[in-house]
Amino acid sequence: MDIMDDLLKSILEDPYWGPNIIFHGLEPVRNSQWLPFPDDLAGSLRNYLRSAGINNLYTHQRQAYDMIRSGRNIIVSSGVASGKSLCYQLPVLQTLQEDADLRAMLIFPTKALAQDQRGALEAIISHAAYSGSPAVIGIYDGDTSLPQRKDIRDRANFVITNPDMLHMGILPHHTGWHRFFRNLRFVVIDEVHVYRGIFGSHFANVLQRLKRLTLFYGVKPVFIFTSATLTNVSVFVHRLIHEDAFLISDDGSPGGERHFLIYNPPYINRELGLRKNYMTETVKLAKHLLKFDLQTLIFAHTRRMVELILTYLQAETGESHVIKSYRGGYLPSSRRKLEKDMKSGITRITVATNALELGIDIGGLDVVLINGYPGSIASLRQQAGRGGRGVRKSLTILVLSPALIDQYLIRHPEFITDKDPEAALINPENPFILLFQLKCALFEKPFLNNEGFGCLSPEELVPFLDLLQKYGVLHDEGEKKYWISDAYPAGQFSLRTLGADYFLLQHEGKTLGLVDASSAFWMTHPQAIYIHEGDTYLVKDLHLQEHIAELSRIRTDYYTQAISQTDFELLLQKHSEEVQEVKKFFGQLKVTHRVTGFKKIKWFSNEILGYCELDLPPQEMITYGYWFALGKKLVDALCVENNWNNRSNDYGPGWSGLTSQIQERDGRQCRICGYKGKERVLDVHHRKPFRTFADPQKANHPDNLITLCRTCHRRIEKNFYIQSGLSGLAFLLGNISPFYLMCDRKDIHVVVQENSKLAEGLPVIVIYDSIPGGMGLAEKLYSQHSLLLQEALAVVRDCACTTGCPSCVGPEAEMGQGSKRIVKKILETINHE
Amino acid sequence: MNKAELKDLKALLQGHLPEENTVRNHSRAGGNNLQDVLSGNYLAAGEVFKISSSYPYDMTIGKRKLRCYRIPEIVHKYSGSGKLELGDIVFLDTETTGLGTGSGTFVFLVGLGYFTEKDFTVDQYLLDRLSGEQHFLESIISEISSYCGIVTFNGKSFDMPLLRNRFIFNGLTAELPDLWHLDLLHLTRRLWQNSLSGYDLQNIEQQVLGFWRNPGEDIPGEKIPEVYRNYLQDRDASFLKNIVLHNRTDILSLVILLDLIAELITGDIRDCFEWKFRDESGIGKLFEQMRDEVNAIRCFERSIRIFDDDRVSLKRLSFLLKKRGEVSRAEKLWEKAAACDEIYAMVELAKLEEHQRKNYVKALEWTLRAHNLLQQRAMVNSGNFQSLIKRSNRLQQKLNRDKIEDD
Repeated sequence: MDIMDDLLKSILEDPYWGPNIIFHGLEPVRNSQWLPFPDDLAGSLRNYLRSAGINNLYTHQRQAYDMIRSGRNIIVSSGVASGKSLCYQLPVLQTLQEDADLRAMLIFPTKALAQDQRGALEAIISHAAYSGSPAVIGIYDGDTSLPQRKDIRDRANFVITNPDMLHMGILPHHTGWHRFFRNLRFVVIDEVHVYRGIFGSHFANVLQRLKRLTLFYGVKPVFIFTSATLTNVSVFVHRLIHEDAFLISDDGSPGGERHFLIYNPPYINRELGLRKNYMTETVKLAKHLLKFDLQTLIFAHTRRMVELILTYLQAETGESHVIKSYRGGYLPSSRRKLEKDMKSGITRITVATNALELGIDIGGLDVVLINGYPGSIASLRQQAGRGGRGVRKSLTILVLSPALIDQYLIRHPEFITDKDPEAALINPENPFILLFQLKCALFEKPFLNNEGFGCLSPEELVPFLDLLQKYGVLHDEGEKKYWISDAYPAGQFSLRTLGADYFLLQHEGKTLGLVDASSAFWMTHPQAIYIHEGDTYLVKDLHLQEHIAELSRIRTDYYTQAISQTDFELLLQKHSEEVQEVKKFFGQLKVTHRVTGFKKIKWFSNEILGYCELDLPPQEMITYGYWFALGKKLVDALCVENNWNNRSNDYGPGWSGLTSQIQERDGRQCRICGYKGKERVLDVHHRKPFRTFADPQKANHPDNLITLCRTCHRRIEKNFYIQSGLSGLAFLLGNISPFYLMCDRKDIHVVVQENSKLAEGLPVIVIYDSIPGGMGLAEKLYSQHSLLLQEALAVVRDCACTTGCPSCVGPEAEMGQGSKRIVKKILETINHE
Repeated sequence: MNKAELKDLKALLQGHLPEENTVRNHSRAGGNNLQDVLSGNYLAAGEVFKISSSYPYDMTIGKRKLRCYRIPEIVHKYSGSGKLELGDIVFLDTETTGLGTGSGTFVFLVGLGYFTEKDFTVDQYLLDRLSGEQHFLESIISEISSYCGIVTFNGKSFDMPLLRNRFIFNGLTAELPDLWHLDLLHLTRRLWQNSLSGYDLQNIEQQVLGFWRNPGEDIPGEKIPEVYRNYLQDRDASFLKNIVLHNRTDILSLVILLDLIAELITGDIRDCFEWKFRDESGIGKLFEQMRDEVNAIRCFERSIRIFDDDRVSLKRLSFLLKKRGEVSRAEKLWEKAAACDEIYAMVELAKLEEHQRKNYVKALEWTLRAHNLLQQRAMVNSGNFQSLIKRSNRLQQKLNRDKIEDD
């Protein structure tokens, strides 16, 4: 029996592990499909391939060769380790044999990948003895020395670079690259699926700038993309380059049997939805794996988590020499040693961050253990793809965290094995991104009057160029518009940010990092506890003028949570539609966000230690939002069915004394209906809800208190009661939406309004793009409204907890009383169930 | 995004962008034309304006006369040219819309200075409209092409690459001719090493050439892009005059700077303003690099005479003397340096004692002194230290052998 079968049996049939394996997927053996070498392939390349033991090409490699050689753009979308690199290496090297002046640009998202690919190319070139002068390969990135740079510009046939360097170092200096550009035949863009969100939107514009310049130098390069398997990758690539690319997705490479297990740590407390710590369970599983003669790779989210797992594993097994970690931030030499030991099998367990996810060649491994869902299906598949060498069996185990997004995956195991995930959304026309990119484009080459940019027509460019003229950086001479500033626009922003504003995090005069201006107020408000790379800091001051958050080191037993208020102004309603009991909307919003105070919360016990108020100016931004309103009928139905919950809130010491004072003041009668009798109980009500105050003393100020009879009190409280339902629903939607958007949780904001201007005073949930100008996320949610609400209902219904937990509507303590029941009620009504 | 959403782009971007620049109104009334403020004329297509000015040879700038001079041989050697006649050289300086060399920086003014039979002439080409760039560049190239050598200040890394960029950008087939190029910034850095507070032309004028520009007629370099930008927008040429003057002064400075350098390198010591900052050590190094050992020795000696603590010149001089076989002179210098704890001097003295004089005891003494010094300085990881250990071991052996022979 195979060792992998032994391992599987030992897990599946184990009384502890077995029952918590909630999914077992199996990808059967995939046979290889071969095609012969193309007829026109040079003898030297054939010899190289034969010497490497390759006598045929996989079907996708041959298809790529034929397409590229006929001048077509292509996308190779096949599995991990399916020989994607050869898809472009062969046709490009073959063309080089015919044209020694050929130039090709290879763009990799990380420096490490660039190094790996240079090695691979050099190996082929040195083996495949070239007639004439040998091909030159150069890496052009931030580490390249000045003398090397000139040499690479003038002589390199292959320039390996990254998007940031292309943006900052190559395009703005294109005249220095004129020999390169005049002979540029191929642009290879590797791992294209990583270009998402802001980075992807910037990158699409950088590619437009590249295309503008290739046109200027009279060439039209072939674009070659490689990608993880995605559903709509062709559409995505079209968004990037505004050209068609032929999709090659048939994977002709062989693969062994692949098993995929999902392990959900068992409950400690079912009612509260508490499960065993998933990291501890990962460590336990890893220890079990050590008993088998197999090589394992463990993925964790953060460097810190990697170090924790490593420490536990080494301490508990005593085998530190065969257990290593791999993350960013190593010196190249130690990195190569780690890679070598992984390849040779000396290292039995490697604990890694996603630094290992992208293409670094470490050979195949037997088992991949993933500590918590990595945040996107593409990433999950990429990590799982690390398992399997050739036709050997492999196993991936995903250990779920209690987070909603992890638990939600249980509902959709088909995401893992059958259905391909969708490519991420990018919005190259985001006005912020576009404005910065247009500055760079203008710097690189004047704009002609009839010139567009990307998918923008000349007319659509006008407002942008007008603005640049108002800022004094554009000079219009009628036929052409010129860059006329002494600034260097590519140096003013990074592709990883919106290019807008940020605050510097400073500690004792040294800058530790940056925080987006839009996040600065709630993450680094005065007296906030800010955690940076594992160290805890107190924000001493937030200098609004200088854009500096001044930090000092501190040891605390609490963290802080900002309290904020969000208001919307509808600028332009683009779509709306009534769907059953609710009405959904999509439009452009002006969002005013104000951080009003913060809570101090004790670590672990989550006990609230105190409230403080803050006086910070409001922040405004214009973005896009999707929102839906609960119809009046629905709200009424909820009220009729409501079960009054008599548990009283803790309004602080002295509350009972205060109530009698207030009742005394109000003449012991209901201030709404005037009831004065003895049958109904008289309550004291907070006009503005207690929990909206940072300071309980202000909440309990007599001006905020009023005497009401129980009947009136119930009617009023219903609204707040609905609000706790809405909060729970918002939590739920906020956590499952990223699945359908391929985005990070922080890319969207979710806000509840019980009595909203956006929908004639009805209660609404607003989900909006957290980036000024938007990324297209809200619009996509609008179109997936019904699906989203069905999914939400399924989650609530199937969750084992009684009153709410982090895996469904959030814990009751945070969301308010009865939230799970109300969320369920709302969703059932909406979905007509 | 549709038109309605883009309608007020500024509002959309509000709060995320810098303040607007103040832009001056187009075609202000009462603005001056180029021809009103500058004596020159438009070239054929009307987009390039040419200004020519002449200066008689006996004109004085600062304390120097603009006179006919020769370029010393060492300068020719330094910049790799053959011998050039004065009439073969053109002095070049550009004004640009920015300091970067990226594709968005334009050259808008090029000054070319050259000697004629009777005077020194500066031709300046001004780009009156950006659309005339091709014509502008063609005019410049046709004038430059008649010279063999070019003299600039920082032209190797700025003016010439930038001009080359513009040629490529305009798709001009005629490339800039590959002229002999002398960049005075490099030479100045060598000759006045560490003695000036800055190495821009203005600092050199004030600290070396001894003249100050008239603030009313000049413009600070950093203001130039803005003034030109404004001219393009409002066509008021009044402020351009100072840029043209600035550029012309730059060229005249280059001429007298080269004259001074020539004199410093070849001339005798004189007690005048320009000499104060002369870096004999730097000139010595220049001669050394050009393999002119006699002159190099002369400069280093002079430098040591002036600055007693010039250890760099001392070291260079000692090695030059050693190379030329003047060992006893070199030895004196090494002794002086060894007294200042210079390791190299001790090593040289040890070598001298071991190989020439066969005095192993003295050789070992020097070696151990150097060894201990390096140990004190915690520099035991240096290759120097390893070779000292080897040397002392070898000397010990030699001494032991001598002893045995004696016995």
